[in-house]
Amino acid sequence: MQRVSTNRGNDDMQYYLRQKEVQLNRAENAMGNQQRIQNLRDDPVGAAHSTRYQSYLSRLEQFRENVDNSQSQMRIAEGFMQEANNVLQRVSELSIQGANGTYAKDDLQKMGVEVNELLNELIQLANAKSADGVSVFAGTRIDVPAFRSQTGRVPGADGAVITGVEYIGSIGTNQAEISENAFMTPQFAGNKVFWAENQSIFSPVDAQNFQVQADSSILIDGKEIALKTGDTVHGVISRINSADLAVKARLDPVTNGLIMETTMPHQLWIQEGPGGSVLKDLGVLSGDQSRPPHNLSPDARRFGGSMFDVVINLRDAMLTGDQEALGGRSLLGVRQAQNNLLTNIADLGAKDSRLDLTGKTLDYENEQVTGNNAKILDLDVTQGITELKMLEYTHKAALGAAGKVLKPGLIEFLR
Amino acid sequence: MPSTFAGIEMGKRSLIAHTQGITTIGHNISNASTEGFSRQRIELKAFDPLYEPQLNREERPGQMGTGVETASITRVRDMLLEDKIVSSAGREGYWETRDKYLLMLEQVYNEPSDTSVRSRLDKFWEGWQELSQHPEQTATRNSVLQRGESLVDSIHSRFKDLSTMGMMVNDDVAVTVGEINTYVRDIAAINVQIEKVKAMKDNPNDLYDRRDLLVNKLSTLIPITTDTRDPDEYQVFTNGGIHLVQGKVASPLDLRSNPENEGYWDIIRPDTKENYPISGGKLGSLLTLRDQDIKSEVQKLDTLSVNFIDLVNEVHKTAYGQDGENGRAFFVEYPKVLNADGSYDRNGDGELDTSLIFRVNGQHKLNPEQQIGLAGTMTFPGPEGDQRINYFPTDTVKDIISRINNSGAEVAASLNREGVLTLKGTTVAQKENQDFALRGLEDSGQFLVGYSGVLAQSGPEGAFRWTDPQAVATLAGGLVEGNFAVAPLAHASSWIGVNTALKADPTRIAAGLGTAGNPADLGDGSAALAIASIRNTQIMVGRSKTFDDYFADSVADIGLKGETSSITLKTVQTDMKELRDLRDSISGVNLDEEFANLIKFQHGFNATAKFISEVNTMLDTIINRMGV
Repeated sequence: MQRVSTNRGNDDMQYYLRQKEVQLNRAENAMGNQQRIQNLRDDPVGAAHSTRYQSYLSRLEQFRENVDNSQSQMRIAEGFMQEANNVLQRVSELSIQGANGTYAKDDLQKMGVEVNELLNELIQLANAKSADGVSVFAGTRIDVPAFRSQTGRVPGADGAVITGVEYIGSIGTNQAEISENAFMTPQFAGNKVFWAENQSIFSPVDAQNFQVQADSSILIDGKEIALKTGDTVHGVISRINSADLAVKARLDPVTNGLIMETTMPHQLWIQEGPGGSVLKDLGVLSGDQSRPPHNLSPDARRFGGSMFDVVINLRDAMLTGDQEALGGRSLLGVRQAQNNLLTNIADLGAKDSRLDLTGKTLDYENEQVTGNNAKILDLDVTQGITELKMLEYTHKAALGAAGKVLKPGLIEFLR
Repeated sequence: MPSTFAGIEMGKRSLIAHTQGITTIGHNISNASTEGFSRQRIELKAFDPLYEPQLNREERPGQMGTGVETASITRVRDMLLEDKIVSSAGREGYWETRDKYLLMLEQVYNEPSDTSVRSRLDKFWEGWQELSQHPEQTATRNSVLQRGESLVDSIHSRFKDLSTMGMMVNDDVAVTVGEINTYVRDIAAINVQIEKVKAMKDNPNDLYDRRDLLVNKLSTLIPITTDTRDPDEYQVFTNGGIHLVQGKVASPLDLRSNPENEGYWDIIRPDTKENYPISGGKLGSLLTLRDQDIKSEVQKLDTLSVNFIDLVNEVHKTAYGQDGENGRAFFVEYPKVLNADGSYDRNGDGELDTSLIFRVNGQHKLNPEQQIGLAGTMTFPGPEGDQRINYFPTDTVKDIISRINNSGAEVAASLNREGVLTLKGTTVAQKENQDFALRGLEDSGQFLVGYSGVLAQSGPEGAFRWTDPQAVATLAGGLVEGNFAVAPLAHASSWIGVNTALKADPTRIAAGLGTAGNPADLGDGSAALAIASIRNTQIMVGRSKTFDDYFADSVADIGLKGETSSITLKTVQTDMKELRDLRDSISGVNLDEEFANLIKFQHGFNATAKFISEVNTMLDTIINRMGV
């Protein structure tokens, strides 16, 4: 039979009350801040999950912001593109009207004046700036207007009119991360949107015996293509053709000069890699340090121009009453420009609907992750209250028992 | 023939014995709540009877009783149980201390919340995302700058919390050693007193109690065993077998500051004056916390800072600010050595003897899914000697990278933004090795050599070894900036900061990478996007694959430590309570029992008094009434 010392009851009571009070304190804190995890030790794995969820949530919110931002950028661009399409529609009507051969030179000149105004409008649309002062169609050179126009006198026009338009933006585009490691370009470079024809460049240099002198690279439409020492011109051509670009290269069977042409209407954008001189040797680039497209060799012949080139040609034909040009090249050019613009608008629409879907997915995911995180972090209030009440009752009971710990001893009965 | 006055003599003895009994009971009652007191029992013994069997014995019926005497006063204590308590108390001291400090460590994390280092890092990445969307704005640059500063602040403050805690624990080590030494000296002093009392053939009950109490207290601080085999020399050992008390000789522990360990105290053993690592008890717990748990937390934070600085700067340096300049770091960098090749004089003899290199890059872009078609063995240093990692022709680049990272070698491998193999030093287990310094790279085949372009030559002759001050020459990229990075100054989390040049003019914060060596356009946000995507790509933050992994791992790690300690502490405390209750049931005072005994002795005393008075009456009859 075990002995029980007089202090035992008191010691035990203190021990158990202390434990109960710790539990009670925990339950009260949990009710107070409505958190299931007071300290990491309460649920280490859950806490680890929760840090992941919280980081992921902040990322999802950022992606959502990026999607919204991209969509608003694209919608601004779309507005200007639609407007340009309307203007181009009128140009197209005038070109068809002028090409039917029944108008006198005077009438054609009047049409030419109207086309000239429409041209000004088109340039203004292409140089559009968004509300925050960003040039919409200038690629990453958002601080300059996308196109620069030269004025001069043309036969039949009154005063100086625009005689040439060149792209001074860049083809660089900014990407937005719209979901985990998925990127989207919300920008449209002007030399693609406002282009009319496939462009081609013919080098006058005979490349039959050409060889790459040192490992180097070339950049076409911003994509780097690595070349190896000893590559012949055919090697270079095959590397360009297998680079997955809308650009094809070939060798002229007569002059043996390199020919590059686009397969989709846009401006060819060709650069040497750092320290290289391959394209200069091939007679495509001039070798000076100017930016594309002004770095092309002056001897290389270029074909295929922008929407503005097409409209300028139309205007000039109208002003001079050149019926032949009106019915042939100009008509085709305007049609091509319009086609290209519509293709780009369609592309934009497709991207916009992708962003819509991505946005919806992000919202859905956000809800799911928030829910999961709440499951880990938040207190189940029903359970919390029940637990607290249970503890309160047992605590009361324990205190009641404690009152009886100092039970009467033998001393009470001695006299 | 017994003496006429024998009755009075017997009565006197009985009165003395009963009084002593009552006094003992009074002593027990008085000390009912004294810590460490064990109840005492008086042992009564019948006094030697008349007569001894010898020749002068009277020829009459013998062995006449002569009353009672006190044989001894002894304490009631189970010494086996006592030993058990002493040997278990070390565990209690260990877990109590560990639990308390781990809880503080958990609170340093401040997770899961939106004010932790992690959530500020999230904000920092968001800043770069916004900059990538609006690279032309100064406002987004300012926001990146401010978030960078706020992140840096939170890293500093966590570092400060951790190092303050290191200091606290270290102070606690000194205080605990002081306490241990006080107990050790007191025990030795009590031993002297006990010897004296024992020489008088008395039981020094209260001194025993006090000594046991001191031993009990000592046993929670440091694991000890006691030895009572030699009754004249009470001994206390540590569990490592070192004498703390040997009879009246006390051997206190000593402290010495260790410059290799942040100047923290080492425990010095009393006999050989050598470093004496103690495990168990409060002291062992403090040493574990200080040298392992807190140290590893600081190392983790340093890993975060070092990798973070390196990754962000690697991109930022190649990118262009609004002024068209590049080459600026976003975070300041303090290399351990200023020599460009990381050469360093480690033993301080005036000659360069070491290369401190944190990161090396390969020369070739790799495709993670490609089978390498090569076989060989790479050798990297690990915590316990070299780790060999074999690779085979059918392995993909990804396989080999994960094999390196899972090998336990103190090297982390990954493909960087450009797809180039990157090898980085991690924190190290051994104090004598430098954190974040690659100590060796060797490949018997061509993977690290021709394939990825890290080393210039395969085999041991082409190996990179940090013991060579010109080790950079063994790299395929040679001494070209950007191919490697010199190891940073210790405790990066204490000095990490945003470059002051950027703080002075936020437009210098780079957003675009530019093309073909031309400065970036105003609207180019590619660099900002590249920095923002560091967060969710596999970049190896020490042993963790991504920043998310890093934070989740470290939170789970400290949380699990806390969970283990609180559960173990509960178990240990329950065990100890059982043992102490058992001791209490043997040695504790029960007042009812004492009062019952009191009544017993009281009645004995009263009866004896009555007896003496009877004897007195008898003598009175003889002396006064016989009329002689």
